[in-house]
Amino acid sequence: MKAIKRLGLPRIIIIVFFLLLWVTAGVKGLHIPGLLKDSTVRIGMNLIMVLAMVPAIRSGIGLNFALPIGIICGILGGVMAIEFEVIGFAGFLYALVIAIPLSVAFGWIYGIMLNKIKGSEMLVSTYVGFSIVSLFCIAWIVLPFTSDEMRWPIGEGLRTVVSLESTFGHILNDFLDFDILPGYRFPTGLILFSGFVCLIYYIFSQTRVGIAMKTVGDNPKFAASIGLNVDRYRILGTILSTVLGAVGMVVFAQSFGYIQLYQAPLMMAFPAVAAILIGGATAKKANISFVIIGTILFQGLLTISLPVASSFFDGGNISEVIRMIVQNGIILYALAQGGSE
Amino acid sequence: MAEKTLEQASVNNRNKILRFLIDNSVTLLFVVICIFGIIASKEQPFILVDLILERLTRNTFLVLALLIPVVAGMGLNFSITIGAMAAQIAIIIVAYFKIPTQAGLLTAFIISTPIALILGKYIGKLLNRTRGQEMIASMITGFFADGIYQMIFLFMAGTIIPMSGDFILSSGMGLRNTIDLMKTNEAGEVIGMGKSMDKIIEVPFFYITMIIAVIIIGYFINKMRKEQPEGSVKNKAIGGIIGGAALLIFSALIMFTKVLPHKYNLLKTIDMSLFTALVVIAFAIFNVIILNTKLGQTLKTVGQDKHIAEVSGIKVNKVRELAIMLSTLFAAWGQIIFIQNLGILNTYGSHKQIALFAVAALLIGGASVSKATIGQAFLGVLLFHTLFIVSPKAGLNLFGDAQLGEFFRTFVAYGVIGVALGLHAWKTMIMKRNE
Repeated sequence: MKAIKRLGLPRIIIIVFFLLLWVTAGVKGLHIPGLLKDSTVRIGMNLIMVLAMVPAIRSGIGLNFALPIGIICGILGGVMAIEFEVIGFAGFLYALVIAIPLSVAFGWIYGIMLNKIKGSEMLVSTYVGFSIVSLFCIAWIVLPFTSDEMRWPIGEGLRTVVSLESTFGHILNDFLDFDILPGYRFPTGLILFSGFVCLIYYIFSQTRVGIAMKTVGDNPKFAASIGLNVDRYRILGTILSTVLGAVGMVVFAQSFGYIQLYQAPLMMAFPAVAAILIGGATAKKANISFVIIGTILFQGLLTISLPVASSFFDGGNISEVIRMIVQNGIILYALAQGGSE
Repeated sequence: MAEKTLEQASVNNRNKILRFLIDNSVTLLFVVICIFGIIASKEQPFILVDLILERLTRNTFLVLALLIPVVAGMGLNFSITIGAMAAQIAIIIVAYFKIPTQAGLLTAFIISTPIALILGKYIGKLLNRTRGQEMIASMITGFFADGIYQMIFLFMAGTIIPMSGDFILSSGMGLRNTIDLMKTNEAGEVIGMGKSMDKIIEVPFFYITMIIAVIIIGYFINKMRKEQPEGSVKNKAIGGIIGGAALLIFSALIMFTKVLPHKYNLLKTIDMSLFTALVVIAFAIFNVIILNTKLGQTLKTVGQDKHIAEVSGIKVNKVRELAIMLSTLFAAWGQIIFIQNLGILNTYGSHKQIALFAVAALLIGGASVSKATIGQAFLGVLLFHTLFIVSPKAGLNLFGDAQLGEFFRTFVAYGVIGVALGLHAWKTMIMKRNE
C-alpha cells in the first residue's frame, strides 16, 4: 500500500499502460525484436538529455526547462563539424569539443541569471529556452555557413533538416553492434557512451563537490551556514545541466541521423523533464536510477504506442498525442504534489 | 531664491521624465521598433490601417480575458488556451449542424459558456494545488488539454463520437484540419458563421474617427469654458482641441475630397466592424465596473495578501477558482470573436498560439505579472500586432528574407515574456530579501 502511495496514481497508470502495450504487441504478433531494437535506440539517444535534469534538480534550481540552451550548443557543435567537413568519429568528437565550451559559457551566464530570480526558475527558464530557440532561428539564416550539405540550394540560410549520413550519423549506434536476436541489433556504442556519461556523473556526485552541490540543493540555508557558497554551486549545477544537454543533443543527432534546426528544439525540454518525473523524481529529488527507469518507461511507451495502435486502426499521429498527454500530465502531477507540501 | 526653486522644479521635472522612461521602457522600446518597422516595410497606409484595425477588434477581447486572474494575484493565465478550445468545440458543433450566420454565432456563444465554466472550475482547482507556480502550471495545463483535445477530435470523432459527412477525414476517423465557416449556398449567400458578427454593422472607419474627433473637441471646449484652467492643464486642453481638429480635418479630407496623394486617398475604402468594436469596448468597461464592485474588492484583497483575505473571512480558494472560471469563459467568447473574423477554423492549430500572443501583447502594453489595466491591453494589442503585420515585409526589404521577420516576431513574443517574468521574479526576490 505504501509503495503504491509513493508511486502515485499517474506513475501506476503509465506502468500499467506500458506493460499493456507490450503484451498487446505480443498478442497481436508484432515484430518484437524490431520493437526492442527501436526502443533501445530511443532510450539510448534520450538518456543523456534526461540525465541533464539531475544536476539542475540537485543544485536546487529545479527542473531545467531551459534545456534548449544546451541543445542549441550541441546543434552548433554538430553544424560546425559538418561545415569543416570533419567526418566519422573525429566529427563526433569535434562536435563535442565545440559544444562543451560553448555550453559551459552559456550555462555560466544563465546560472548567474537564475541566481537573481530564485523561486521562479521553472517559469522563467521555460521562456528563456523558447527565446533562445527563436533567436537561433534567425541565426540559422544569418550565420555565414558555406557547406552545401546544409544550405538551401537556392535562397538564404540553412535547411530545416540536415542529414548526417556523410559525416557522423549513426557513428555510435554502429560501433560494435551485434544481433542479440534476429532483427534485434543492439546499438552497443550508443548504450556504452550513454552509460559512460551516466557513470562519470555518478562518480562526480560522490566527490566532495558533488556532495556539496546536493547539500546546497537540499537545504540552502544549512549549506550557507556551514560555509558553502550557495550561488556558486547553483551556477555549477546549471553549467553541468547545460553541458549534458549539449552532449545529449550531439548523441541524439548522431543516432537520429539528422540535425533538425529552427523550431525543432523548442519543446525538447519537456520530454526530458517528463521522463525523469516518471522515473520517480520530484522538483527537489533526483538520482540516476530515476533517469534510467524514467527513460525506459517513457521512451519505451512512445516507441511502441504507434505500431500497437496501427495494428488496430490507421494510427495517424497517436504517438504524438499520447506523448502530449503523458508528458504534460506527469509534469502537472509533479507541480501539484509540490504545491500541496 | 526664486531661481533655486525654478532649478529644483526643472530637476524634479527631469526626474519625472526619467522615471517615466524607466517605468515604460518596454512599451517605449516597442513604439520605436514599430515605427522603424513601419518605415522599413514600406507598406501601403491603407493596408496597414486596415490590418491593424481588424486585429485590434478581433484580438483585444482575448487579451482582456487575462485581466481578472492578474488582479486576483494568480499572474498571467496561460490556460486561456483551454477557453479557446471550449469555443472551438462550440464552433465545430455549430458548423456541423449547419446553423446559419448570426443564429450560429449566438449558439456558439451559448454552447461554449457552460463548457468554459466547467473547465475553468477544474483549472482553478488545479491551480489552487500549485500555489506559487500558477503560471507554469497554467501553461502546462494548456499543453495537457491540447493533447486531450487532439485525442477527441483526431481519434474519437467519427469512431466513438458519431460524426459523418465531409467534416470527417476520408479514413472515417478524425476531423479535417480546417473547417470553412464562409461556406455559401447555391444563391451565393454565406451560410457559415464566418464574419457574422463583423457584418452586423460596417461603417467606413474615417466616419468613426470624425465622430471621435468631434467628441474630443467638444470635451475640451466644455472643459475650458467650465473650469477656466491655468498653466499646463490649459495647454493640455488646447493641445487636445488642436489634435481633435487635425484628426477631423484629415478624416474629412480622406472621405470627401481628393486633395491627398492617391495612397492616402485609398484609406477611404477601410471599413470598421462597428458592432464587434462596440462589444469589445463594452467588455472593457464591464471589466472596469466589475473591479469596482464588491467582487472586485474581494479579488483585489486576495491578490494583495492571501492571509489577510483568509483572516477577514474570504474563501480564498473559491475566489481564485472564480477568477479562473471567468477568465476561461471570456477567453472562449474572445476566441469566437477571433474565429468568426478569420472565417476559417484551423481545427488543431487556432488555439495553440492564443495564450502566447495575448500574454505578449499585454506585457508589451506595459503590464506586469501583478498589475494590468485595460489601457495597457489596448496599447499592447496595437503595438504587438503592428509589429506582427510589418515584420515579414520589413525583413524582406532589409535582409531579402521575409522569414527573418517572422522569426523576429516570434523571438519578440517569447523574449518579452521571458524578460517581463524575469524582471518580476527579480523584484520579488529583492523585496523578500529587504524584509
